[in-house]
Amino acid sequence: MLALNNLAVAYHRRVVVEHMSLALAKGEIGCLLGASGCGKTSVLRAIAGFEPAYAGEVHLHGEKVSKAGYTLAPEKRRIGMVFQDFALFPHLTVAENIAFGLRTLPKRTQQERVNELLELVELQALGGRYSHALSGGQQQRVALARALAAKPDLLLMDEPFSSLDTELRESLACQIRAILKRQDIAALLVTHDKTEAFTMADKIGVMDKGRLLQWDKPVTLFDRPASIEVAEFISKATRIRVQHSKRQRISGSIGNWPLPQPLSAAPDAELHLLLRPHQVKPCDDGALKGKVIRQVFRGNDYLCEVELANGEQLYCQAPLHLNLAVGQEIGLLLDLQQPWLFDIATGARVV
Amino acid sequence: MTKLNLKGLLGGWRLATLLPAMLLALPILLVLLSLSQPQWLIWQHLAETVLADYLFNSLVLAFSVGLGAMLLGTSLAWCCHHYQFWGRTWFEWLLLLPLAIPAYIIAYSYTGLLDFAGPLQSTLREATGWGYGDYWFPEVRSLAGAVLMLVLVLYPYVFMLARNAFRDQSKSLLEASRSLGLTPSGYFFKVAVPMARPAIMSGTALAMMEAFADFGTVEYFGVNTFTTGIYRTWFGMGNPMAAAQLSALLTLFVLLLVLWEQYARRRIQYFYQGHKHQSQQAVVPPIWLNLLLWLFCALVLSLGFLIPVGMLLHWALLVGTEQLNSHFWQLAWNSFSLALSAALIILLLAMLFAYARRLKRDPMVASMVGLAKLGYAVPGTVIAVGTMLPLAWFDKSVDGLMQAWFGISTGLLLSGTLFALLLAYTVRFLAVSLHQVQSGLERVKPGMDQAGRSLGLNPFGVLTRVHLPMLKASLLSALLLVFVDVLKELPATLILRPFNFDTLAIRTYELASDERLSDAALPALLILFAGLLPVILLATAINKEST
Repeated sequence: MLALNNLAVAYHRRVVVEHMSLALAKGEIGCLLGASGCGKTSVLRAIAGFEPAYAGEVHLHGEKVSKAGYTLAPEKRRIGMVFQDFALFPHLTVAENIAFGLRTLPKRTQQERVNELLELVELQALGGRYSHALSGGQQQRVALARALAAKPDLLLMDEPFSSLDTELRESLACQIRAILKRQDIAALLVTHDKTEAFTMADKIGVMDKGRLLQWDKPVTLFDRPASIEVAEFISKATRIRVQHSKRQRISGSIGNWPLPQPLSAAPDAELHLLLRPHQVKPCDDGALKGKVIRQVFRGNDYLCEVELANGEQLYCQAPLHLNLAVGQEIGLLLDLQQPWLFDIATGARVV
Repeated sequence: MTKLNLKGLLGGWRLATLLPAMLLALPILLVLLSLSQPQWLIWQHLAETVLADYLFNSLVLAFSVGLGAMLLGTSLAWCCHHYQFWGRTWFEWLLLLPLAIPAYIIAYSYTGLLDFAGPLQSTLREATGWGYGDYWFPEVRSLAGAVLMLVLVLYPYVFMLARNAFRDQSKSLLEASRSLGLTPSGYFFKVAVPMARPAIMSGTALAMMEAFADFGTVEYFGVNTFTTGIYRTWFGMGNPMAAAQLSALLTLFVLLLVLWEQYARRRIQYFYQGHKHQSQQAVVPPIWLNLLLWLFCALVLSLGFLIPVGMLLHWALLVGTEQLNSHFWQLAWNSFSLALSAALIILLLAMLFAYARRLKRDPMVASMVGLAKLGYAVPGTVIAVGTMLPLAWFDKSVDGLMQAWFGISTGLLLSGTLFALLLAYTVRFLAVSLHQVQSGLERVKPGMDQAGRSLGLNPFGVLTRVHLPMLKASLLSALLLVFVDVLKELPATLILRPFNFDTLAIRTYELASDERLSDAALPALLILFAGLLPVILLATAINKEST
């Protein structure tokens, strides 16, 4: 459905995105995830045809729509787009907004399609209202209905939930995913919010500084993050410097630990171990000792920060019943069933 | 206990606003009330003679000016919004300049330029050898001419409001339209204009109000409209009641426009609520279009400003400095001191009303402010009639009483004095000043008052240390706007001024009426240059807002 081939985007010859390649099949929901300014919105705008391709190509439904020196006009691309501020037309009612892209159809067909969509987004009663009389979540669903009205091949969404309340985001994300799945429409959204990305997407692309670091299923991102940047972006974790001592052991300030499988790295190689909170557990007879320096109550558990003897700090997930106090010395046990180890020089994952 | 609590009912702000509001509403209310005693004979006479003319000319004038200003203002605004052509940033504010020229002055200027003895026709005759009656030339002193003059100085209302409306349309709206299958020109018709419609309508309504109110141009061009009719009915036919009733009819037209304008303005608020946005980028046009756009803007600027001002300057230089005698300086002093006192009085009243409204949230104070603003947009001729009626009645009553009791005739106490003139100005221009003060006060959030008090200031301290510094700019622009409006005002001044009291506007009018156009140039230029100040202020304010 959508394929990017080594795409680059530039503003006034300053390249903001390059070497962008990915593919999205019919009915698949993709997501570009990255901090603001990483170039993800530029990619979306290049796919929509609002920005020219500086290099590389954009293919839509098997047709080349953008390459250096050629940009098919946005209105000819058969894409739907949902904007960050929704961009609803304030002078039109909800129904007229939805019918906006259906101008060429007979009035009757338009009406039917509008009713269909109002039902799809569950706003049947509000067709006659103006956008300023709608809540944020309702506006969002109107924007979606308007973008879907002309049955586009691909739906693009630019930070679609950023102007909504946090509570609303998750429920709306689930709803919209269900709607897209029911309609079997390919979609690509752009966000900086991990929860949103994992709720919505079948495939996630992690972006940083204008480059795509990894394009994979959400589970794969966790199981096999391609690099330390990806791992650090998708999860709260602490870097610890370790040394590959023997074929199945690592050692460092955290002591000497066995690994479940042998490593491909050279013996004595310097590595980074990324420890996530759930991998570090308080344990009375743990050989590794640390002092609790901060503690945050999270409802189901405590998230503690623990300082090791050499001053390095780890996140640690502590069950409620332990009742740890700040300043307390505790023993720690590391769960290294699926360790995240990365080459220090290249940042690539070591398996 | 049925003792009336007078203080509770009226007290403080209510009492303070009641009297001035009543006084300011009186002229308009009297004019409207005059309809309750219809003078059938006069109406019959009017209907048989000139009423159809008044109606036809006034309506054609207002609607044609509205349409012309709308088309010209909107298209200029779109050009300046959508295209990055040569000199765009200059034209954006230069195109506001015609707003500084009173319509009657541009009318004098074009008459001098285009009539039989004017430079254009003289050159034409010299070049071709034609004589009088050998050729057809459009007559500027006509209804069509008046429409053209008014459009040339009133289009900036639409231009300014439409420009802001286009600027407030976010980039994502344009892109949403494109992704839904619209071409860029489709965007203009389907989205940009419909969305800007309230702003365009608001500007059009303002232009139409001015067209209804115009006296100087139509009087000079000999076009019979309501304003000239009212003047003639009072002073020619000596019938104040009939003049008041004609005024009432005209006021009803204008009130309809006011309602329409307010409705449109409310819609603007709806349309642009809470849109934080990225502005659209202007497109670089191809060379031929670039040239065309430049020519279009340059043409409008020349017709609306450069040519008429150039003509006036030419005349002023021709006549030279002999005009700059003590009489002229007396005239300038009269004008400026009158305008300044009016502006100060109006500002004080505006502050009274604005603070009453802010500090006393209560329907009675709100309706007092509404009453005081009633004169907004009502033509100067009508206000003059409305002011004359009660003052003349007062003078006559006092005179009668004094004669009966003491045998002394007091004559005219209030009518024909500066008091009458200042009252009329206040009725007409309070809304201008009030708008400035209120929008300035909006920036002083209630929390700031509380912060000031909690930091140890008493209410007076809050006023002088917090409010005045924050309000300074608004108060100054309120002063300046009213000052210039009073300076330009013609019909009310003409009707109400004390005997032998001349102003620049009156002198310009009289000289022009005596066909001494070149002598009228100097006072006209003085009015015009003063009028440039608020326009330049406006242009810089808009510029600041956009960057």
